[in-house]
Amino acid sequence: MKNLALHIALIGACSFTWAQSDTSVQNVLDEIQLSDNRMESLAVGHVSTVMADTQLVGGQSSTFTEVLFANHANHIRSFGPGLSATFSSRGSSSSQVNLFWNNLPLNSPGLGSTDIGLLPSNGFSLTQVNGGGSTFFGNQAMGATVNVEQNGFNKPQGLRIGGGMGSFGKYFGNLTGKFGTNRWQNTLSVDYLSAENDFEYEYREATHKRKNADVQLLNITNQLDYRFSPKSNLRLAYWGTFADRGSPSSFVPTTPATSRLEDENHKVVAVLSQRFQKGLLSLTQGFLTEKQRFFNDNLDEVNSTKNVVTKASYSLPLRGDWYVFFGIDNIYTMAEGQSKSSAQQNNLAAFGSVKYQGKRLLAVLAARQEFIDSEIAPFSPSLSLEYEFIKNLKAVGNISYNFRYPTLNDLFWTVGGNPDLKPEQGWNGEAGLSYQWSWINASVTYYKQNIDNFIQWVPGANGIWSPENVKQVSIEGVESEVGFQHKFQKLETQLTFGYNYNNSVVVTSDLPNDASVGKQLIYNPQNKISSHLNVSYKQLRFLLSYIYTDEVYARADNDPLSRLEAFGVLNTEVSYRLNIKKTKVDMHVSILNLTNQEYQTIKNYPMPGINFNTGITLSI
Amino acid sequence: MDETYTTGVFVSNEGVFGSGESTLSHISYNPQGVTPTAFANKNGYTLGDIFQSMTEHNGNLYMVINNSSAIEVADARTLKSKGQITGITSPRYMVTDGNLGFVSDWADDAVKVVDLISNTVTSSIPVGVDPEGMFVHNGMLYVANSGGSIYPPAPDSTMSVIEIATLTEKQKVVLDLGPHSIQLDANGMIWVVCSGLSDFSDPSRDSEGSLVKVNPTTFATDNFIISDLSVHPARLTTNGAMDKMFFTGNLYGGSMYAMDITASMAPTAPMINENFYGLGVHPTTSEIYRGYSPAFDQNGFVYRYDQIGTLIDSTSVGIGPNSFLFID
Repeated sequence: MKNLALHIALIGACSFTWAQSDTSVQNVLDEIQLSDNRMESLAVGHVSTVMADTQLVGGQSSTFTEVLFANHANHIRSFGPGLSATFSSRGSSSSQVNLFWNNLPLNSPGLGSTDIGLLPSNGFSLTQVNGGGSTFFGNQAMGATVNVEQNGFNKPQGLRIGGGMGSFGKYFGNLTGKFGTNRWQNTLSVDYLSAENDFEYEYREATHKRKNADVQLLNITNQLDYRFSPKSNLRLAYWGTFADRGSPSSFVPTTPATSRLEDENHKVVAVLSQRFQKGLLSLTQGFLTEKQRFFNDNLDEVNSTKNVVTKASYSLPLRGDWYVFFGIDNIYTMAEGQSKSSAQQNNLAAFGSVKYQGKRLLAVLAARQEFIDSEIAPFSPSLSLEYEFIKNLKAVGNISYNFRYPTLNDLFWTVGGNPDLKPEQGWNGEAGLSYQWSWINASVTYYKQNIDNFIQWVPGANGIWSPENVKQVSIEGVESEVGFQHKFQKLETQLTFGYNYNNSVVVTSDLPNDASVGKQLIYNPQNKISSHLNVSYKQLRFLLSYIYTDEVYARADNDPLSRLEAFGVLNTEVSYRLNIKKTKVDMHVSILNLTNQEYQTIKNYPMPGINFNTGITLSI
Repeated sequence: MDETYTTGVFVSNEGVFGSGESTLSHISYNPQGVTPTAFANKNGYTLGDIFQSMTEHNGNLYMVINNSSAIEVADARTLKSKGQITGITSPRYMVTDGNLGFVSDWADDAVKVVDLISNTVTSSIPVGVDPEGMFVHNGMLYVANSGGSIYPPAPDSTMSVIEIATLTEKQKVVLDLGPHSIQLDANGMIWVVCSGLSDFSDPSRDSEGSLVKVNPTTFATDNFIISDLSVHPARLTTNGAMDKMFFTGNLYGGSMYAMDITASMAPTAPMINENFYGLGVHPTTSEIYRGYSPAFDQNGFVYRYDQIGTLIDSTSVGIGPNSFLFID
């Protein structure tokens, strides 16, 4: 805690120094909104945040890992820059959070989590709603729901080319082109990142070079929006991810590091939005394929999944201040691989909600029922409220019942998969206050969640490990955020400061002598702080961020040997925009981990010390 | 930390795969106490990835760290590190004879010969598929070629017999499928536990495990078949009198069985019906030591039983306790 106090003092000092200046950088979202109201409905009574690559130091050359790390509610586990990484929120696990892109789920059906190291931050913005979201987003939405959107241009035609380099053999490049008419618009984006990640680290009083941590990552997206009429839009979108990455060993230098991961993912989706005299219909049809090959000298294993996603929803205004929104979702999953007998699962769900939007009161009452194959998933109701006491000050709160169905690996892994597992489930509630005024916004939220049937792999008879529903978990915490914006002539300053306190403990366990009872869940910091400063003066911009993560434990019994020390990472970036006729030239230099902090987010997997990025982007 | 360890038992704890967090624990029974991270306490770092087995020789403790491809050498009493032996891809077990060490290298289908003066690998002797346990007796090195007892199998059912003077394989004795570990009995007979084949994806292909008694002169064998197909015996050990063989029902756990060396049949019921991740028998007290791992995200336990299997006590150690070295 002493350490924490020091970090708070440091942030305070930053805030004070920069609070005199001021502004805001808002990402520009696509002009054609195709949302089917789910995220909007879920956001009622919850805390939500939006983060775009432009708000982030080094945003153009990093992955979702860095974007999600910048949010104080989230904790990240990463094997290294650009390598496999997962995130969790508000004390949950990485399979208790959900990500979506154009209504398609991004979580791997096998592992249950999204490898956020595979997704480029460049050109995307992320909207995150914390807390339970099963009513609108179903399975897995226990800790947070994140919607991923591609940033557009705010004009019908445009071309952007960028590239740069950084420490440890890092090169990146991206190209975004938009063309079309007022009837149709097509946006193509290609993003490439490669890095050796051969940074140095200390082990046994000697310096070693990180081995087999290299990354080659290519992402291609294309989004075609076609307007049949002012009331009718169709979006056809594709996202392809191709990656070839090392799988480094822990920092013990004698451990051979020869394993590699190859990923190839494709997503195709069509979203039709049709406005009727009364209401809006949204239809989604998507296909996803995911293939991962893990191999080394002794092993070559390919696991693949295919998903077919069908969604339909309808929003209908009723008389007065009342609205209804309802829909059905169907996700069909097929998985194949050496470690799973081929597995199939169908997940059908129906949901409905009623919204009241009065002068001061906003309320959403909703419920969802999922059917997973022939099983009936837990019924998931929710009630969300927002009440404006006085102008700019409102109280928010919600209560919901959420669940996570076991992953395909939990159910069908060869050997040990347990088809009799029950879903993890429980109530989730939160209450908070939010204040928004011209130059300041602030919010504070208390949240509490219970999870029953917490799944853990345990040894069974004859030494075969199987997942079992063995624990009950209780999570509670406080989240707070304060932001300032100021504009003085050409000087704009924006400062945000977020803090999360989280207490996630195992309450009871069916395991004999379970040393995890009463202990904090693994990889969940009790305290996390993130602060971001953004100052621009004319064409010059300065970004500074400081993110503090409290100590975490890698083991359920919180053995001191498994502790990962608290760390604070300070990043900064300076950028300058040159206008040459109609061409904008943006140049940036960023310094990451300015204080050369030694840290790990997975036990014994070192992260790099101070490092640099520089790049240039031309926009026409 | 100037602790010296002159009594009690060392416990090797595997740690979580990939974490580099293996530990060496020490348990003292008189007075009672435990040092969960004895090696790290002395040296300031953990041992590496997957502490597989250990042996003591000439005052040195050799700790075989499988996934780190290294053998950590330390003073057997103070635990002060004396360096590492590297150049072995997948070391499993180590035995010694004079100034020579022999390490079974699973990935290389070979036994690596180590000069214990310079701590370097000097030669490699090709053996069968996936060598595991070994034993040195009368100038001969016996090697269990396991063939990988789990799916997908590369079946082997032999024991290599190597003449230490010439470092050459003299004989491959055919036993049953999946030889895992080797012991010598009071009558000078070599005992090998064979796991049989266990195919997790298709249990109908499982084959029986067995204990095989081998005459080291004639190589005549006596096979004691274990007909229960859910038992795939492993981790053979013996008591101080060498008149009883003890083994676990599975390499990754399972109950513990005992067989008298004069018995005419393999045991059909376990002696202690608890999950054994590690097994040891004290050479003088004949107390039975059980390593138990409740889950790989928390510490395991060592349970101590008397020689008839009555529980005496339990001690918390590191993650995945899999073997024991008795000091006194």
